[in-house]
Amino acid sequence: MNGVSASDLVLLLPELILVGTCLVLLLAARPIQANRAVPLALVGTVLAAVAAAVASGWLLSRGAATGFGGMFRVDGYSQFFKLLITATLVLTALFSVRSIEDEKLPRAEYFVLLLLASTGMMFAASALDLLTLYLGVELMTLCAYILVGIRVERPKSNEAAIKYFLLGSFASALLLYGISLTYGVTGATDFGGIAQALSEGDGENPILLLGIVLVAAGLAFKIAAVPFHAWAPDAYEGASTPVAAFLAAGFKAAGLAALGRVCLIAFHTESQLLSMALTGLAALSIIVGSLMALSQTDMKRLLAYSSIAHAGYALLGLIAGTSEGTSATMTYAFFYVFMTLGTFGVVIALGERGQKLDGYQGLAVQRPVTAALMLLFLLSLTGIPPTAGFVAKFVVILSAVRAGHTTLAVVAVVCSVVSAFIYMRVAVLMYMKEPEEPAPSRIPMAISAALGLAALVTLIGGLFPGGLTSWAVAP
Amino acid sequence: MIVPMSVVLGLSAVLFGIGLFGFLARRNIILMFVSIEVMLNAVNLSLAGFSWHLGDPRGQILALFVIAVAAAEAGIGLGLVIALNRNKPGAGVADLTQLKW
Repeated sequence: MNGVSASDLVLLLPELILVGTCLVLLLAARPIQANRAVPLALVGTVLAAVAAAVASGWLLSRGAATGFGGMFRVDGYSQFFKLLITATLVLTALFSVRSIEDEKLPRAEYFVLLLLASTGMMFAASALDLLTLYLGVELMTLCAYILVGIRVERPKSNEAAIKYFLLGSFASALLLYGISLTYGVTGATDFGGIAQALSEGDGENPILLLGIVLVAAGLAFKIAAVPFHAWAPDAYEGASTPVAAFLAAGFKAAGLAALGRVCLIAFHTESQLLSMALTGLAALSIIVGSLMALSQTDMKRLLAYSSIAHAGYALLGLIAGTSEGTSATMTYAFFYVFMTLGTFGVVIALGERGQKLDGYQGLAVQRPVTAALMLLFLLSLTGIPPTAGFVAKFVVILSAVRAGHTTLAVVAVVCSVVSAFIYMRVAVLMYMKEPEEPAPSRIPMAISAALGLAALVTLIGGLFPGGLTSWAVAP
Repeated sequence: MIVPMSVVLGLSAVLFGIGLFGFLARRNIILMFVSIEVMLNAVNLSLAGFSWHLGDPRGQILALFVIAVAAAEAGIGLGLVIALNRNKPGAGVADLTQLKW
């Protein structure tokens, strides 16, 4: 291992931009808090995210590279997820305008936490070493604990944050023990070294198996796959809606990125064990997520269970342990992020009324455009063509069938039909009921713009299904 | 090495088990949190032991990072507990019942 050079630091450019913006926002927190008219922090965050996205693209155009003694990897895979994470950051920041105003959140700190969490996610997507993986994942989770509990005066928010914190720290301890056991058996923490030690090793070692299972469990917690999902509905309900959207979209993307690289590079010799574990996680997530969503009346809880089911679908691609399968998961993650952010965006746009399922009654009469957008996102979440959700579900289920998991594919399709009931219930309320509540107040510009962007990607993704294939390349 | 590796590994497993049991059995938020810290320290012990056994410094470096992250985690956790206590003085895990199913 050699020292850190300037060329190593260049690889960190997108992350450095985000962290630099954090520092500026923190230093300027007081004027930002005092100046109510101009959303300075919002503009800064969006600009930083765009700059980070451009920097990610520029790094990719220079070709794949590894830095920091083999701990940090920049390649098509990592930059794909980084673009996705910056998109999540931009949309979340735009969605936040109203809740910051209404709930009197500390605006500089709120955006700093969003930026830092995104930095952690980017680190996790680029991690080529268990140490960087752990640090990235912890950075994003630590920021998320505060974001969930940022409405300090609300008991519900306190409760959600405490529950999330206790379960999250517990999962981190499991992940760490897994990392430690893997290190003890293989003598390496970098993914390449682990893979080499495993291929030379004499096979079955119970300590190693325990280590791999613990690492997979710790990462499964981050994407809220069953049975590590208990935190998600509580955290989403207790958090303000933009934060819930950020957790649902960003955490899934970063967790899947980390899980994909760990499965495909570090532990690829143990693909049998991993495939078994992931099959269980995927099947349970899809079934439990779809069934539990059926009885929900709180919109954020409903979307939380829906996001759990979607985590299961995304895992279908990783089961195969091939690059085609991983690229299917990448496609799924991409479209999932936009359609979920879009759905949450409509919930945010409706304000208090959007929190409860009954609030959607007669929305089509009062706000035809918002209702039409919601319908588009719901169709996409169900997986009906010509929306991006169909393309996403199609590629992951195809990958499961190719890997020989036909039963699992049948379960996925059946649960997809069950989930149609959940999403169409909202559509029926919007289009076939008379409005009972007064029309929601005007939607701020920023939220409309973000909704439009999410809808655009959801539509284009469905109309040009091949558009992503050249981008979604496995590591 | 003076202490055999299996003893270090066994001790860390026992410590981790104590933390795990404490986390699952306790109903006080602070004590659950302390149990998590015990688990993290069990991990640190095993990391340092492995590092010594393998003659490779990486494990100890990892342990240092874990200590730093655990400190940050403690700060956030205690902050959240204080925020909860302002709204509901003396609340335990059994009182966290607003969010269900």
